[in-house]
Amino acid sequence: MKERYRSNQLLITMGEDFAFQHAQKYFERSDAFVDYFNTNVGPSNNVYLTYSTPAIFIDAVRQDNVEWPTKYDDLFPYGSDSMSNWVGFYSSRPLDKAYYRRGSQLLSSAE
Amino acid sequence: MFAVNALSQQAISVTNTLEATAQMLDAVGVTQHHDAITGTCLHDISVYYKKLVFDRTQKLMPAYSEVIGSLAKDAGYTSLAWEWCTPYKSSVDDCPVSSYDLSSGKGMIVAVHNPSDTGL
Repeated sequence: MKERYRSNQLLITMGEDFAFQHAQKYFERSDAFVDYFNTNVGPSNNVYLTYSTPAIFIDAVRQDNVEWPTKYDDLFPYGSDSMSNWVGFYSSRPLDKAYYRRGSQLLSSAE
Repeated sequence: MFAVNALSQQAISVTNTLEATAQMLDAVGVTQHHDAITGTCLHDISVYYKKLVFDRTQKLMPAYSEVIGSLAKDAGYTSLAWEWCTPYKSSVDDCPVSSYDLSSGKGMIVAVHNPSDTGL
């Protein structure tokens, strides 16, 4: 994982679809895991876990003074693997899309 | 008393419009969900989203019409009733003048509202 990051801050995203249906237990276990890791694994490896936010992460990364390349590629459409491209939803339920667009237009006018 | 009444009616009207706009903002916000606008949600949920937008649109249209009427009135134009005509085909055929009753010297005021969703 460290090979994919240019700074010493490693972002681990939490959760996914349907992951918080048992949120209480999820966070109790996350808390326990973070506490255990920071107590028993962290000190000897100089690696610590902390709950964070995108802003906190970016601030921490800035402090590492990394030189960043510029990306010119297009992030869309999303390709989750070599055989999967998420392009269907660009045209799913087109009438719904048109309806929401009109709602947005009315809102802009009213505002 | 009349002036106070008129002002309070105006205040009610503004409040209604603000409330309707806030509710519409809420509905449009919901449709930004990654399974709403994409059309990837379950059927019942899709029905719910559309109904939400429909209900809030029904509330906002009269309030918005009132604002247009008020602006027109301030400009010296009065109208007994406003009617929406939406040019879905973006052509002059959408809202033909002949479809309105202009007999007996009746006039028509056309208020054009910009449907741009960039807020411009």
